[in-house]
Amino acid sequence: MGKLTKILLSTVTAVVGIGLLHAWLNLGFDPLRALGARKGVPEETRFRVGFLPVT
Amino acid sequence: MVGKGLYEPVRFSGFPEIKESLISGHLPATFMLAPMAMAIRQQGVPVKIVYLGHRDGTALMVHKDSGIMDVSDLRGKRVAIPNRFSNQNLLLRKALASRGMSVEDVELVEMPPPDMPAALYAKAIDGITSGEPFMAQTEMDGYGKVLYQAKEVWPDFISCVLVVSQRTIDEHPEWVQQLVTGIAKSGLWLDKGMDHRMEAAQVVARNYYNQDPRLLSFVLSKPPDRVTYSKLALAREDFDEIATMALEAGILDKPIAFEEYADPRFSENTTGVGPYSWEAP
Repeated sequence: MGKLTKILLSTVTAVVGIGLLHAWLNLGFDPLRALGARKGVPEETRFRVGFLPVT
Repeated sequence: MVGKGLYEPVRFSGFPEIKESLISGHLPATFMLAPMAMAIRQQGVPVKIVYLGHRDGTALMVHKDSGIMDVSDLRGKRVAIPNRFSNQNLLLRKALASRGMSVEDVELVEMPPPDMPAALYAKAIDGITSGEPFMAQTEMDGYGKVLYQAKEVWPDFISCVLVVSQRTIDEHPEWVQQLVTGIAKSGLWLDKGMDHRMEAAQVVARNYYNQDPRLLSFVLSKPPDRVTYSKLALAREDFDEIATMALEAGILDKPIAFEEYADPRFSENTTGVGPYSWEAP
């Protein structure tokens, strides 16, 4: 592998890595959910229904 | 954070807090007093009533030592209602009118329903009216006496309704329909038999209401039609009556059309729905 190829691959990897980190920390992206390791509904998309404990 | 399901019940202690949470967008949907829902819609909040929570399930309680035997004995007395924008307010007005009286003949006090039993016990108030189980609690504890059940004054009484933000209706009608259909099926299941009601009392008291299961068992059985859950579809004539009374009571500023505050299509889609097939183990 040439030196230029290594630099390009490293740059792409770094950009993708920083992008995913930004998405995880700031945009609500959940890598575990993307990989199928986390089940259920994320809190931000849950449908909250208010009630008073009266019948 | 991740939950188990899409729907998350959020418990409140008073209707003003529920109203604010709905207006702020924190709650996409909530159970709310019917006149309150109409009033906030009239004030420009984009919400719609899509279904009922229950029918009946309201009483007016007095202290058993009060000497109050009839609605006419409430003249000059202090009566607590859940909120000015409540159907209990309208119900009381209707009961007073049946004795030739008006709301001017009593002193109305707004009070969160969970605070009402203690106020009646301490005789700080002469009468209390709200949805169950707070009325039954005074009866079960031995100091409360039923002056009237809602159905004696206003048959098929409506108190809480399911209100959903217009944004949720527009963006996720399938979520709204799923919720409405689930309530319809649950209601039919509840009214199918007393064993279902007793099972529901255990589950709801422990997991949602944080109340004594015996209290909910009392509410759902004494008498069995104290609260009913079968006729929950939106009926225009019911709401026309509420709107007319709310206008007379000054809760609404001007007449409001059914279509402005209600979206009956989810309710209409429950026609023919049967009860859940689940049986208590």
